Amino acid sequence: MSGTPLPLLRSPAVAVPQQLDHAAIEQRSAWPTVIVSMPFMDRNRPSIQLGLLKAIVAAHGFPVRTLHANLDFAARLGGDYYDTLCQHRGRMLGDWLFSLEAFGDAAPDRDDRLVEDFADDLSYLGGSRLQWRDRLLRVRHEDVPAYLDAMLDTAWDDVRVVGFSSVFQQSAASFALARRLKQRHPDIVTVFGGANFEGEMGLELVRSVDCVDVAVVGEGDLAFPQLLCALAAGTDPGAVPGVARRVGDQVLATPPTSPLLRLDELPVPDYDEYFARAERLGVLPQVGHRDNWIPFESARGCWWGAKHHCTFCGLNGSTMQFRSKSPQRVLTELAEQARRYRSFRFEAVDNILDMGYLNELFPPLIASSTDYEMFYEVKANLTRAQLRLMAQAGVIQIQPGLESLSSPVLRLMRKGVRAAQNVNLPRWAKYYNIHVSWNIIWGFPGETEQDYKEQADVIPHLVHLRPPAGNGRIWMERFSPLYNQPAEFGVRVCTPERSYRYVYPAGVDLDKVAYFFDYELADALPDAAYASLTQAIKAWSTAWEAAKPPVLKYWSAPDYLQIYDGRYPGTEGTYTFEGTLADIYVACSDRPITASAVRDRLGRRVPVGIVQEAFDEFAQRGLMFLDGSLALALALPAVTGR
Amino acid sequence: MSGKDGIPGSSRRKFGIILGGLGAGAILGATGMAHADDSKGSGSTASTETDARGTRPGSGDVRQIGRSDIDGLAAKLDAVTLSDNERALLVGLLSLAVDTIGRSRTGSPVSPLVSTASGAKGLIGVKTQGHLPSIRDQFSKAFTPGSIRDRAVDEPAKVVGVE
Repeated sequence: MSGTPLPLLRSPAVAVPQQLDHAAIEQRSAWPTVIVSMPFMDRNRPSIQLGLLKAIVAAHGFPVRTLHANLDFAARLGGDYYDTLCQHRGRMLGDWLFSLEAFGDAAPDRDDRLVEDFADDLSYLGGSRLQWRDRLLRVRHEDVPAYLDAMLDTAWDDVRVVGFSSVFQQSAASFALARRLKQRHPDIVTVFGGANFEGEMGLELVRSVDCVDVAVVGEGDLAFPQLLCALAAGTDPGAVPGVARRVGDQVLATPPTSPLLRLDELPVPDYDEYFARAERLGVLPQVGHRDNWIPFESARGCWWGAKHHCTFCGLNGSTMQFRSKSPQRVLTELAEQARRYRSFRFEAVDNILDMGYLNELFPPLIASSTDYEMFYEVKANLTRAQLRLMAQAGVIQIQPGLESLSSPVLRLMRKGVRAAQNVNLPRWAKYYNIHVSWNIIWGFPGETEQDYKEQADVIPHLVHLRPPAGNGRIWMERFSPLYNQPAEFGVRVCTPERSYRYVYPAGVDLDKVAYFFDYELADALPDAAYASLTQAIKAWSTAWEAAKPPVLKYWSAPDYLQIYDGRYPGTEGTYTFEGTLADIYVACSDRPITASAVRDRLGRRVPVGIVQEAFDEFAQRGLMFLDGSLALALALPAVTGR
Repeated sequence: MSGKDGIPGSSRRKFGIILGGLGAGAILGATGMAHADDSKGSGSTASTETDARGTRPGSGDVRQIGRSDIDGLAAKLDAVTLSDNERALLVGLLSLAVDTIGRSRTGSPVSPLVSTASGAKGLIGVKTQGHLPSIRDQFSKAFTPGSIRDRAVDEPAKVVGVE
């Protein structure tokens, strides 16, 4: 098939300043800027924050480079061990490793109590307790100082501003490098930003951490270059919207401007230095064709959250408003980045797919015959046709935020989907060969033990579908409705997650700095209520990973259906149905459907009662998933890809 | 429903009355039951009993329901112990069915599934798709144990006449 050529976009209309006069050019050229990403940022892909800010700052006339300093730490520790540390979010382990260097004599836990007090949570590090304990202590007391010394040897002499992008466990490492830099180069202005500086977290960190000169609180696309311009021009940086700084004992902050609405104005991220550094350090191989995931942003905010904020979700603290790039802009950006970085794999950092892309982005991608592979976060109500379209366009992995297989629990979390939809999505994703990443979570105010017993009971019927990657009680996150409206949800106790105390000095107000919180609910179920579900999920994963994976598939012809059930070794067999039963089953395959809708689809020749009776019989054999009035066939067509 | 509904004799009387209305084609609703009660099973006309003796497979795709079917169903329902709400639900559903059949008799059918042609062999015609065994029976015979062979991905279809 010949493809429709896609135009390349060399210089998107950025938030580029108006024509600069000679004096401004001179001023800005005298303010070299470095933007840094510290551990524990993923080593396998560039930071979109750095790539985007570099392109923005460069467009404003500043000499700017990026420093993926996380790569150096990964090279020092070894990639696998570094990855293990990156992937853990439960305790503040990454921040703790750098806290001595970040806060010096003021740092807590100088005698490494964390490894004892949270030993049960750290066994994932592998090896014996003595082994992982010794390794952590070596990292904290030997690798971290040596690494920071080495980073200080990088060329900083001409640098005027160092910006740190901080998300998840990057704060302490960023403070540690900033502290050393300020000691050696006191004139350097340190600017911090990122999700860890949103809202009062940023204000408190500016107040309490000396090495933070200025923080960008909120989105930095406009504020960061404006701040640099103010610094270069010698005007008051405190007048820039969306920044906070310490003046005497006070923190002065300006409210941010409204979020950037026209994302097409952003430049294409610049990842050149990431790849050069990663290949030089041996973190990535030097090859002609790369298969790295290239981060790209096609939307910000969450259109669902703007209407119904999921009760547990703390993403999009101050920027829930949904905005997206035009499909044409996305197409041209992908084309440019593929050519520039010699990789065809793209990871959307969007919180949720713009549903308009189903009509305007994916069809042209299909028509263009590109060989992209893409990842997107999506809402779980995608239909079979939409998944087929996405698969054809190159989407090979999605994260749909399924979270539960119980409609009552999904209602409690304001997910806006039914359990039957959460089963249907992985069905068709499997059919179209799209990898689904998802979890089952629990602990929602108002849930019952029955909600979890029912999930445990139905899971044995679902083993032919990809199991959840994880499961567990929800975390209390800042900015979530659970956190913001404790009385509404019966939250009795809410304190900063315990390990923050092992990272930050006593003078830091953890209530203001923490993103994760320990909590108690008035009507919380005991852990035992989830035991059977936990066990069922474990068995599901075991079955899925077996040498001969479970299968449940069907073949259909007019008035005739065969379903092969190979979900459990030793009980395999084929169901054969004719006439009405065959028609009923196939009618429930595309999406969840009611008995009366099936009756209508079959030309009203079958009473609803008969359809319902058939539903029950199918469900008893694990061939259908029933969710209130909805029924969903669990088997997939044996012939794939249609 | 009254507290007496749990008494077998009471339930027998009520389901018999309602189902009796099917034979008469009376249009019964919840409020019509008292009237039907007064009529002492108005559907038991001598002219229909002969035709309705027993159920036989319908010709074509219409099953003809006779008097004995109705009586048999009433007897089975009478034997079931139901809660008040279950009884209310069942009475309501049966009343709707009676209403549907009654409308068919009066020339205003609301469902293509039910017919009550005058002079027919049965009291009521119920449209089915040929001979319809019970759902449960169909499921009980549907399963054949045994694993199927995984088809090799590269296994080509054989084309007759081609070496």
